[in-house]
Amino acid sequence: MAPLTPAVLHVLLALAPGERHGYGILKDVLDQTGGEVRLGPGTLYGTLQRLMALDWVEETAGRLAAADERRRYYRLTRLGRRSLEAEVERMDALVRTARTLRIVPRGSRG
Amino acid sequence: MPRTLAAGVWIYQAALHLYPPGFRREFAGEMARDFKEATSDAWRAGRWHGVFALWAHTGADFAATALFQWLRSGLPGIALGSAAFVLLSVGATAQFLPRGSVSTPLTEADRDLVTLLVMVLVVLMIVTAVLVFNLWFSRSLVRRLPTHRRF
Repeated sequence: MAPLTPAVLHVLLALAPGERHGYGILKDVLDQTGGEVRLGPGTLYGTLQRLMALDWVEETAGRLAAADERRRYYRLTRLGRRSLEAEVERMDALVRTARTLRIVPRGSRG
Repeated sequence: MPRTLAAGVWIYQAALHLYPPGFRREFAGEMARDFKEATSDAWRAGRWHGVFALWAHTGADFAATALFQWLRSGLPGIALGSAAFVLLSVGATAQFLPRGSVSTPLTEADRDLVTLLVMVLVVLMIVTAVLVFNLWFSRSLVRRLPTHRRF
């Protein structure tokens, strides 16, 4: 499988803990990256559209009775979670390779 | 929320009409709601500095993704539509332009005619620019696309 694009990876990570609406995903991505990555609405919904077409993400009616019933909520499907895990595994292997080459994050240098 | 912020939200909602119909039907409502909420949050967090940063980012995102969505949904249709519009406009202008009827000094009716012609020219220039930009950008984008789609 080809590596995921950053937008897809961030959206999948934001949905990993549970269902979210669009703006919730945007805020989670901002939080998870310490304000480094801000997805625009066009990028977010374009990504969600592709992920739903791939059956990695699905819309849920789980919170229709919540405060704002006009909100649409999204969650990972089993296939989406498996894809995310595969990507994390790939990145983990990449990081291990980098460490064997003594390439370490700047923050952890002595 | 200050009136300028509400106007910004209104402009964004209007701009969402520039997305392809399918995408707009499915997501425009959510996008408008998210933008309104994000603008309120940005105003609370950083006043005008926060709002302008958000708007600049959203504007850039809008320009890139609207074009991308059109490319996905059938750019040839837009290009053909733009070309047809340009041809029709040129044809209509040539057909209805009264030859040699503008005299100097300009009368009131001539002034209206000149204004109309200037407006038609401006519209033609805009349409031509959009057409050329779309064709140029789509060609350079297609050349850069990988042979398989990345996800």
